[in-house]
Amino acid sequence: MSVGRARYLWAALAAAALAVAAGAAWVLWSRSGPGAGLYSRLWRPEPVHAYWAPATFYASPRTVAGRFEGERCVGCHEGVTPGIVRDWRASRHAAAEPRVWCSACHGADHERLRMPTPQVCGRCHARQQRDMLAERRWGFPSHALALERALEAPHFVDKPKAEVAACLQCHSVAQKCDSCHTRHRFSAAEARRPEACMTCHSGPPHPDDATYFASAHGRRYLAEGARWDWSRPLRRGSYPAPTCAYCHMHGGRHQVADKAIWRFGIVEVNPNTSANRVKRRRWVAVCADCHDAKQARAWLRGLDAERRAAWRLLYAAERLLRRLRADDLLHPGPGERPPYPNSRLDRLWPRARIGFYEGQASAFFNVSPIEREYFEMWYFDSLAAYKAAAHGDAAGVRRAHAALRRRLEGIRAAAARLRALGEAEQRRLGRRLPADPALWLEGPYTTRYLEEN
Amino acid sequence: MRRSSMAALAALLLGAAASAPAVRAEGGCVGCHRTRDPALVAAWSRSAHGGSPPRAPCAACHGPDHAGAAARARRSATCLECHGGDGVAVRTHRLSKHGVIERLEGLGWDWARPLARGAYRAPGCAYCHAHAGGHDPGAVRDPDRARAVCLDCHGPRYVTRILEAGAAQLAVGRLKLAEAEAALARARGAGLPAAALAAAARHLEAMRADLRALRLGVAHHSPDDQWWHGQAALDGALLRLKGAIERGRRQRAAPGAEGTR
Repeated sequence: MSVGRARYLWAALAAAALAVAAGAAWVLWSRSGPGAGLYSRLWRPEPVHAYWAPATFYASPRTVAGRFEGERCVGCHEGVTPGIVRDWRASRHAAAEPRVWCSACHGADHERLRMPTPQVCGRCHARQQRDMLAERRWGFPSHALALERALEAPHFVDKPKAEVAACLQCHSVAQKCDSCHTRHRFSAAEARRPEACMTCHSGPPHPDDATYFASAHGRRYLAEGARWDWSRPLRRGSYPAPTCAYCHMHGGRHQVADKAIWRFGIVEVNPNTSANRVKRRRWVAVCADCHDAKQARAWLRGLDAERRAAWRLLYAAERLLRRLRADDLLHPGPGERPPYPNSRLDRLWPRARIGFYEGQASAFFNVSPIEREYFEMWYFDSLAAYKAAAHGDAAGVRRAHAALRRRLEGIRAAAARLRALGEAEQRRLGRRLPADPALWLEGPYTTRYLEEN
Repeated sequence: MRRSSMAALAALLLGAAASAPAVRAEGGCVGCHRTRDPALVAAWSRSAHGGSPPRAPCAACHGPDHAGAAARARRSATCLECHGGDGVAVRTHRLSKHGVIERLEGLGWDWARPLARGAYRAPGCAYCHAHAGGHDPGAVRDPDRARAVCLDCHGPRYVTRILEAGAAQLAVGRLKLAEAEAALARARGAGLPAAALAAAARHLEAMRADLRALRLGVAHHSPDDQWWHGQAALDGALLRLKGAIERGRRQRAAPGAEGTR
């Protein structure tokens, strides 16, 4: 009896070992395609991608042969690209002793030039590079993981690459120090100012710019910031009011993820887990540069309350959608809309994705209108409320919560219409009228999406 | 009634008083500069700023004072006097790295320098739209001209890649609009209920605005406008347009749900 049991145990262990090995082999194989990331075999980079992910895709142009250093680079580029030479001359690189010439970052062989990555910058700025890499342990959102997580989003792989080139301009921050320290000045002072962040931290899902500038901190910055001494480090007593970097990169540490309690805001979290209690203490320590710790803790609890209120509204909308899905009232239904071209599972088993854990984040463009309303409620209205609450923009919180409630009412009314239409069709036709395939599955964009992604 | 006509009269008088010296100054500028810089005056008069009467006479950008007239016209703040508000054209530049650098450093720049050869750390409006003293602000929409401007600071291959990526992205956006237009045309041909067609037409208008945000996001390098106000917004409006058409089709096939619109 016991011998028989042991035999089964060995069989189970062998199967598990085989499965792990097969899984690992699949991941390695899947990562070895012409693109990058987990789905690298399913897409090819656009040529411009080389500049957003230089570590992976950049290859030097071979227009000029020879080795160049020092004044020889500068002398020629003064004629070719005078703007960047002027910029470099005004930088600390040009003022340093010894000078940091072009070749220090780009290399000297003109046929093998490098597009500098954090690894290149890290040869001198080791602490900053180390901090940034350490960010990965906090997961996403973080600058260090921004690029790989973008490439691993199913909609990145599914959509035409010319279209999602828009995304990479910001998500490239993982491989480009000049996202914040613009070339060829690479100024620390510039990156300390909030405007340095807003090229990417703006717009419907992350209105960090608008909510910060509307807060008491931001208003003080707008009124006085031009006169502050931006060469000062991001430490207690240096600035009359905090900026993005003051709180999120406190002490000049090059990582923004170690205090993210509510993270991106797209899933409800328990803000009081032991890990989050550590993050709360970190926040209170930053606020305590200027404020009473008790007050800081109360603000954090205020943010939690705002998030819970937003999630109650979001869950109400989710329930409405799940009921429509259960009653086959979503229109077009899952099998009637363009499938995700690279998902075999989606072709075999089309399914409306409702909620974060079903992959809703990638389901914003080929869904029925009511699902899109929920996407916007979740991704735009709720995240606007989150950022307003986190940045201290009270009026913004009120506006965003009014928008959340309006959107929920709209979804409720749309759900009632879908039910009435479904019932009318049952009465008159004895069936649900199928969605028009010519409308939903054809057209110049949809064809391109399905065939040439 | 009486109050409003008094206000109109006052506005008319004030306008006449303000425009009379401007018109004289205009003749003065053009009269002299037509012989000194004929190409410049010709470019201005056929541009969106020109026309008869000119939409933006010389003094609108250069001010009434000849001293510092060029520097004044180079500042973005001057452009914003007309192109201001929180319009998409302004937002896309403000959010771009070019706009950020200009906002942080522009106050300290020497605006007496000509708009060429990377004399400014980042381009404001005029650096590209009045590059090297060109006086037709729309000229830079021509890709060859844009390329020449970008090359002041950026490497040739990078400029090529950026311009072709922008064009490709815009082409995708236009496919979405074309899909919407075709769907609406078919719906009109099928004689769907007027309310459904009107709703779809509103979504088509929204798509035109989204496409403009995309175009300006590409031109001014604002990723936010390229994606969230551009491509992602176009996606939403396109599926809403289709939804409006589909609802009309369903209402026609199975009337009886009208009570819920």
